[in-house]
Amino acid sequence: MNTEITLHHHNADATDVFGFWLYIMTDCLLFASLFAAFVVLHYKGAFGPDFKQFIDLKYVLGETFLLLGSNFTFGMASIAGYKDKRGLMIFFLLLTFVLGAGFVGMEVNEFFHLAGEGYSWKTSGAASAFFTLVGTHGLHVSFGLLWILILMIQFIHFGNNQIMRRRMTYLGMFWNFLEIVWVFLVSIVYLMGAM
Amino acid sequence: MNDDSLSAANIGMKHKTISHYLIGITACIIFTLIPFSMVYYQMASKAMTLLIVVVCAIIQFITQVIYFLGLTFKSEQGKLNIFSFIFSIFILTVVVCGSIWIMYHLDYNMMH
Repeated sequence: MNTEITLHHHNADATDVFGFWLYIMTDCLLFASLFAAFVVLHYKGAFGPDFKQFIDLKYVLGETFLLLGSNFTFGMASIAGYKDKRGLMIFFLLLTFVLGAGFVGMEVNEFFHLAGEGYSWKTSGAASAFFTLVGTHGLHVSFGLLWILILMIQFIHFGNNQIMRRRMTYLGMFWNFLEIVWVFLVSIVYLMGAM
Repeated sequence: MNDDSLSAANIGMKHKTISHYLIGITACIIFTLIPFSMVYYQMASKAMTLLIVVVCAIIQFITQVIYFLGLTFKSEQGKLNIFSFIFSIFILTVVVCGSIWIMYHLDYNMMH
């Protein structure tokens, strides 16, 4: 009887995690269509100012390292979670939150800066595609931040149990997915744009 | 028991250790710095730089998937994850490459 219950439980967990994985896969397709729109609208001789002159590679490198660092600290948090070191885990989650918030802050600042210099989402189709693509990623990261905050409160409130570990797994997949999208975003939007 | 039921194999992800993350982040930093410096200092021709940017992005992607996400073929669940992953990449390639291909030809036929 006892084994039956645990067996059912583990299957439910595996199915739930697989379901979340499928959600992430569909989110990939959302980003794929935004990437396609961006690349198509950024052909040579497109209407509006050239995006190349607005790219600040050092600034983008800073954003990249913030997001990469937050992924690393999240990994540390999940390891602390496995080892049931709750204080360490909250610390690393907080660090992840700070790094992620720094990333979003830099991105928002970049958007205002671009708009101030005359490259706003209203400027051209290419600019709209840029702001939609990067903005959608930023929005995902912002929701991830909210999620980290909620998870920290839940950890303090409920402690470290199996449900919480499952939620950590979801968030880890989501956060890592955002980092992977950012790798392609940097390569296609900024690096290829600046060449 | 609790620990087992969310163990790495059941959800099809590798059990990660600190060394996994250290390898992952080191590789990611290196393969971020290479394309950035190539583009920033304009060290090579345009085609060469483009190639390096693409290769570094793919290496980083693979590193992330192996060391941070920890996808593995070792369990049934892991196989499900990987096959849905491969399917998504296929659809993604069709959407992105298809759009670029179609629009390029449309542009070519109208302009030439």
